Amino acid sequence: MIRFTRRAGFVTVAFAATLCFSLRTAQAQSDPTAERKQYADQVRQTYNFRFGDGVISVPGNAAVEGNDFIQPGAFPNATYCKHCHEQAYSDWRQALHSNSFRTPFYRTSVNILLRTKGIEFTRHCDSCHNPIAVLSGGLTQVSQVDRKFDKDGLTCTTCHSVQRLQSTSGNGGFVLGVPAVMVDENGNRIPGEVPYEQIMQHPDRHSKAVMQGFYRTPEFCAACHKANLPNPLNDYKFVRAFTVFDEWQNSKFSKRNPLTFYSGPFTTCQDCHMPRGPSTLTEYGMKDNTFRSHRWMAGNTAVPYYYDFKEQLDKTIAFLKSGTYLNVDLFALRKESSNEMIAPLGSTPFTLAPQEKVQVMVVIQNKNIGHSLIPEVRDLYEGWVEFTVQGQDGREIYHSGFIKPDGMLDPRAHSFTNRPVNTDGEFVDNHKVWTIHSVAYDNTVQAGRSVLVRYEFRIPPDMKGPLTVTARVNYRHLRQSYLNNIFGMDHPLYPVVEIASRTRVLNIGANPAAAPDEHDNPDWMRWNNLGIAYLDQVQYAEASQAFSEVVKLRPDYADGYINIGLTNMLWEKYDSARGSLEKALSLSPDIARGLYYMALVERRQGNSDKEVADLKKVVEQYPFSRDARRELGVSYYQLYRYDEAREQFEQLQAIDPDDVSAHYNLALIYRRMGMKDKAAEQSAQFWTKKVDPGAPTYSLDFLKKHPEISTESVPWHVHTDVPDDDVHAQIGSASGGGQP
Amino acid sequence: MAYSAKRFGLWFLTFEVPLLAALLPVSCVADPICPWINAATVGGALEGKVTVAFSPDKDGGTCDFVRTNGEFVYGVHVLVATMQSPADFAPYAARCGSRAELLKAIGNEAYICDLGFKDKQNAEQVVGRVRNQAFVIQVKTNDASMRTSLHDKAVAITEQVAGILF
Repeated sequence: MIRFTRRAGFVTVAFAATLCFSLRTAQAQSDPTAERKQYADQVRQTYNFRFGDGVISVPGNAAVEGNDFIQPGAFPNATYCKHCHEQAYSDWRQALHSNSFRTPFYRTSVNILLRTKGIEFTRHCDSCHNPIAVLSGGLTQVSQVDRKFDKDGLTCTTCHSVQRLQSTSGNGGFVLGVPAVMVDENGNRIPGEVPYEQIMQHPDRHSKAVMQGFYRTPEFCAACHKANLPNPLNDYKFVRAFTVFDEWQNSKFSKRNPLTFYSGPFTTCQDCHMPRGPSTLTEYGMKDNTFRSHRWMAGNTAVPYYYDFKEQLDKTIAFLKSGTYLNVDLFALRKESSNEMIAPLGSTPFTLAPQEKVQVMVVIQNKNIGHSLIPEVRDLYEGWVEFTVQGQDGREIYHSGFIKPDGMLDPRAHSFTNRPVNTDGEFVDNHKVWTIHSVAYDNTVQAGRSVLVRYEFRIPPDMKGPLTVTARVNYRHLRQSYLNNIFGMDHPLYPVVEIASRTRVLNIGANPAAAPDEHDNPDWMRWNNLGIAYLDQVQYAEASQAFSEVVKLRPDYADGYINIGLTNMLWEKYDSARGSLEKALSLSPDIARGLYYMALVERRQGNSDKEVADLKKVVEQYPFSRDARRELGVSYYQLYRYDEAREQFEQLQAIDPDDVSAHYNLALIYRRMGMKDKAAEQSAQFWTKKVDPGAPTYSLDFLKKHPEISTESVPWHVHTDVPDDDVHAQIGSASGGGQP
Repeated sequence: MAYSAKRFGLWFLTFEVPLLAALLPVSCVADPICPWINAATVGGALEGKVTVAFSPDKDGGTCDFVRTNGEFVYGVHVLVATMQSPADFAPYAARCGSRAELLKAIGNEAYICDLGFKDKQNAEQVVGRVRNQAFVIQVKTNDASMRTSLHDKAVAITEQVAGILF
């Protein structure tokens, strides 16, 4: 054994020495292809190929043309680009993309992976956070890569070298070319830096090298803004991480989904996160005197706060507060004395008396975000509802969603977070995503949808003046306990941003109808949002009532009838559903949403031809609709029309390569068509991507230990500080237990 | 170096390295690995290949990187130590004393100071901490032409070290 080890040691040293010698000679190379090959040959010799021979980036997906290592020096750095693109550089330097790797917020998590499983596993995260480190072969135990590029994260020539996209599975689903800032007269890429004069002489050739049409598409963003945890990372199975691209695709802004509750203009990720604006610095990339922001403003206030990037921080806060992203509606009251819903507030007069127990129903609409609230890694962020009731003297009568002196959020706040758990039923803290086996709780508001949050309080007996009731949605990047994990307990409080709020003053005594606020939705939409919230909370009777109010106010609104039909369909009242859907289709005969749900009713009632005809019309209007493709595939399958079914499911898989129903049905169809290998492949994909039926037990373990979260996970929960005995008296059908 | 290698179970290096070192350029012998920053990155900052010595102890350890180029010597010293609590950072901070200049966005806190010209060398020092881990980075050289860039080199090296300590 000792002899063997000594020999191994000698070989290792000799090998390392040869490698070093080769590195020296490589420096003299001037042919970029030969230089890359020599570099790659050297890196390959000591690279940890744990995930397969020649496999560079697994468990991530980042790839580069030539499928081999590339020298970090092949990437012109950002200061080179700055010469002509000062505005882009200035934006980028403070943006998340340039700080995608170096921040403590990221490093704390990825370092745990590095220390516990090995640096080779970090290729999963760094395929997006530091692709140059992955593709240069730097993420291996004996790294000989100068990591000076770490501070630039995603530099100009990472994004602007992407030549094609792999799929929309994410995890770094791009293919880089060898970075080039010029093409020659034949269109061939010229690797590396070229003199600025040459670019100025041939700006068209520069543009051809650094721009691609698909850079303007959401699919480009999907390469990294969609992620999963694959088996090589977690030694378990495929687990969905975040799907912000899918969320956009299902939103009204994609124009690809016929089933959205509202419609809106086609809007890409870039339209919101890279808006055009004037440039104050030298910027040759301007068009019509405007330039697309390279700040990618979104929700991250932590990075600019830590790095003291004041402009980025101010602009991020302004971005969060800027639009009509959310609508907060103090929609209704329920009083213990009458048990009736007083709604919509503002339009309906009512009275209040001291000592009365009151429930306020707050409807929060994700009105104009093209994805969920809060998107992506919801375990790290903190979005929540703060609800306050104050007397006329400023006395606090009720407060939910406060920040405690130690910076922690009120644990019983209504929050838009999640709780992924491991096999011990413990919250996966510190973003150790490779240990996730289940999600105990996941509270969000998807694009275009609404949530109903209930707060209950008692008016003090001595209260004479008005009550000021406020609901606000706050956001903090990041969750306080995660910040504590990063910095210890002695860090400053990170910014809390109010995204949206609504206040109403309630008189003790008479409350007449009042004019709406300029930001208020019209009443029909307020009822509609309530109905949507009820629908998502599986309260069909209440949803149906709310939608009925919509069509009373807007009898011309086809979607109002569709919503009633949808509610009845989910309630399995197909005859009632048909009536409402027929009414909708009489108002708007080609409305795809109506046709889609009508097709499902037809299926239930055995009218296959009508079912297929309706779904075909939907697919014609919305060829990228996952739901329509899936259902039409099912329809064909049930009619033994396997070729047509196969086409639909293959199209569905092209839209979303991770769609479980596509894997399942294609496995069946291929088998029936005698294509055994393809069937086996789809079957394997289905089994790894489907939800593990054993996983919920870990969620239950967690919920048992965390009653505050357990209550939150019940859709109709009520937030209250009224003592239990009072609560059991119940207000309205929706009450039944509470938490402050 | 032989001592460090033995300590890490790389005892075989004590036999082969001298032999190979005689046949190859000095910079091309296999070096121990510093857990907080690799030799290539320090070499990049010092503009040439470096040798490294790593001396661990129970609370952390030190790494010493050296580059020689004729009469010029360039060195980076990295010290990492685990403290009982962040309050124990004071003695480390005192190493810069009144010359300390706050470095933003490195670790929980970090300070840089010019150690001046001593023993024919210019030196720049950073002291800082990540949670309860203190670090001290010194960049030294007798090459006067590098004097003005020592500050930036010290910051770049420190950012790497602080990053891995998170």
